[in-house]
Amino acid sequence: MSNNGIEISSLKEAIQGTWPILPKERTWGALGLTAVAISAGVAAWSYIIGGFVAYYLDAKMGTIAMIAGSLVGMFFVVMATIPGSVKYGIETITSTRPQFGTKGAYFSIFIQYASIIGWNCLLLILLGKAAGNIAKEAGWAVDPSSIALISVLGSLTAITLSWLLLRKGAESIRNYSYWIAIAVTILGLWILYKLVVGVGLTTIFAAKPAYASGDLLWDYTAGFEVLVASVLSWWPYMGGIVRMVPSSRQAVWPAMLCMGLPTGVISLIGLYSALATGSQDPTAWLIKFGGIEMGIVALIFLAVANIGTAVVGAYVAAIGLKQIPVFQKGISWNWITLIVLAPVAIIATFVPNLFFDNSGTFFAFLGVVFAPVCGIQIADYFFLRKQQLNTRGLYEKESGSAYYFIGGVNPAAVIALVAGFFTYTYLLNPVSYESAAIFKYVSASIPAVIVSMIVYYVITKLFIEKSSIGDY
Amino acid sequence: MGEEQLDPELVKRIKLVENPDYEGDPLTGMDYVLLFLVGLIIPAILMIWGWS
Repeated sequence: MSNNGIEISSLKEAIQGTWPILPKERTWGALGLTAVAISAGVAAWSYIIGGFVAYYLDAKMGTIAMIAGSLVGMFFVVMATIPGSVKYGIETITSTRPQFGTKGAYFSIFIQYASIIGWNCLLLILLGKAAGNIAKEAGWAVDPSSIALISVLGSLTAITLSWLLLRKGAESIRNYSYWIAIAVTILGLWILYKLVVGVGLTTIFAAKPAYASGDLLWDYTAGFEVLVASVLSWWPYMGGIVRMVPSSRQAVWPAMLCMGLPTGVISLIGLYSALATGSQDPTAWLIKFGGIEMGIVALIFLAVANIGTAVVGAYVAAIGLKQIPVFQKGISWNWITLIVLAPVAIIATFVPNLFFDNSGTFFAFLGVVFAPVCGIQIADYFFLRKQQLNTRGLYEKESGSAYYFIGGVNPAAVIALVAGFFTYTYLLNPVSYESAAIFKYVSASIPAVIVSMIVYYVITKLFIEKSSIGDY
Repeated sequence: MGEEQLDPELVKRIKLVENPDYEGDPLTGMDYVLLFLVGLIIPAILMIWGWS
């Protein structure tokens, strides 16, 4: 596609892509959505999530906590996004205007951008580390500085390839997701097979977590919380996918069972492998079980999966940025994709270990931002607006329009977000993982959802509705 | 309500979507019960079972 063609198609997608989908355009059935949901839900970051949970839990408790966490996380995403998106045929960012306001909805674009940068950092740093690990095991690099250099160059090569692939435009990028799912599934099943044959289920289930806190209930809740928070980050993607089916019923189960659950199930491979080997890196697992040749093959699969996932994520983030007026004129598609990938390159170059070794902070950050957002959307759509939106108001942005509120921002949403943020950070500090005594009984994301729901509802009832703003 | 100029194609779509016949079908009460079961109750049972 020519540069001009990319500019026009990306702008068209950013603007027209937010318009309501009509029934005749809802061409996916439950089966079609299932295929798309699986291809989205099966992603290589699940290995990292599972590897992180292996720090705290053994195989049995980790399995249960991760399955349960993935279902609960997706439950909140489904409740927040599917009813409104399917009813009106709108994607997630547009669906937040009734809660956040015409300008406040840019916050949704920001958290989408920030979460995708975080996931892409994890994916591409992991890929770089895998390249460094292969170089070390093959004897191509011996001293730690050379291995670190190869790791950084591996990440930067992957980022450059991602940027070049993004120049091809929307259609080719959509097709990647199927290949990514196939690559991740093959790699995952292969690792699982080698793991079971090489180590044995008994050994895996007897393996002890490396960094258990000493309080088993805390570890159990932390493992559950990591999955809830990670799955909540599907929130930005959900509306755009589910609005392609004609009924909410056709959307709910593919989302729950084919997008939420696979995150937990694929993460189990990461959990078992990390427990058995002490490493989060799939190439390290396969080198251990099958030698350097198998490690190289794993690296190729990992590259396909991680670069593909990073490209899809970067594309979604870039289209999101294109919805902001300042990015619609004068800034080319190549620059916007650079804005999405540059932070990843900076982190992968200068602080890869700091970021990767603190992936738990990133997972908690997802809960900090997405849990309150889900709570606010659920309270607004079900309890305040009674499942009725002003469709024209979703697209009018000027003062006096339905969802303009005050200066384009709904103060109730801001206060509820802050309340949810403080609830989460009080219960679980995302940086230090220090927690309130009650955390191990209630987790952090679930209370953050509930508190933001209540705060949003009360402030709206007491102040916003009485001010006759926000079309209540 | 502002009288903001919207793209004619968007206005056409909005008018169609405002017609309930063009809206996507909502979840039924039973759908919500099942959703609560799979999304909250079963995970809670799993967590209790895993702890015991």
